[in-house]
Amino acid sequence: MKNKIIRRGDIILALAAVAAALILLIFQRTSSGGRVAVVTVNSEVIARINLDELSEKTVIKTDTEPSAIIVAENGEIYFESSGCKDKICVKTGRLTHKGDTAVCLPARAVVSISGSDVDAITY
Amino acid sequence: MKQDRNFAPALCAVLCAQAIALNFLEGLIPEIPFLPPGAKPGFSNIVTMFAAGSLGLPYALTIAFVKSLFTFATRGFTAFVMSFSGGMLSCLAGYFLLKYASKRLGYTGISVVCALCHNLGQLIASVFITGSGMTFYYAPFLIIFGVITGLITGVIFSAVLPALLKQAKHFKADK
Repeated sequence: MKNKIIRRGDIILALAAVAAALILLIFQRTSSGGRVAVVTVNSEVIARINLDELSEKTVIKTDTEPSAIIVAENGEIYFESSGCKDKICVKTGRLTHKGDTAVCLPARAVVSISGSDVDAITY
Repeated sequence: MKQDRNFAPALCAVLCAQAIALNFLEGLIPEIPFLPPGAKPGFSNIVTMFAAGSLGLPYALTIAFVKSLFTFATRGFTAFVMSFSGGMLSCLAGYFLLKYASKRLGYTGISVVCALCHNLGQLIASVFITGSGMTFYYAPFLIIFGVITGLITGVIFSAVLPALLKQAKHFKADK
């Protein structure tokens, strides 16, 4: 095992990866239309909430084991609590921007915000 | 000269223990704000990368598997699936890059690709667990974080490589 610590290729590779990530991020943030939160549980989309037109607090409780409670209010959506161990979904915090995603793997629940035009068919 | 048949399994067992120890130690690091929740530095990748380079692919995969069993015991089934899928993909990447791309990439670059493959493996697993491709929205953050952790573990790998090689020597019967 003889090798160099760092080569020029390493730097090019790292920069290319970061550039790709930034381009992806810009695409996510700038997708057109209003902000729509898509709640997916067990591969089924159980709710689509237009955060820009949200007037009252919406609470969704997943029927999975462990269960997660998702709350949408004041133009944001977040995992309020979850019965899982690590609580990664709750720690993700409040989602406000397009592209923001929170996942609770034990509860098989995904919440993400996309531009409404992406889901134009359902409206 | 007689080749010691027990060399590789014995070294592999010690590397397994070291991978688990690193995995445990990085679990003690508190969550860092502004980073994706649940993101880990992946220090045990140092060990699997060394195994992939010195002992070969089967041993490296064994270490990744044993590590994910440890995750299963401490953090449950979901964590096991994530650790397993990430570990396997990262091992494969490490093995083939060390073998075929050493002329173009240094340890740091290979470590970055391993970290990215680890994250990719986990993303693929998360798609199967949730049944939703939405988890790929996480990708930009995972890529940026993967590059950073890959750079760090790559530098650490280069620093501890002499020690790892010295350790491996102890397991050889004929010096």
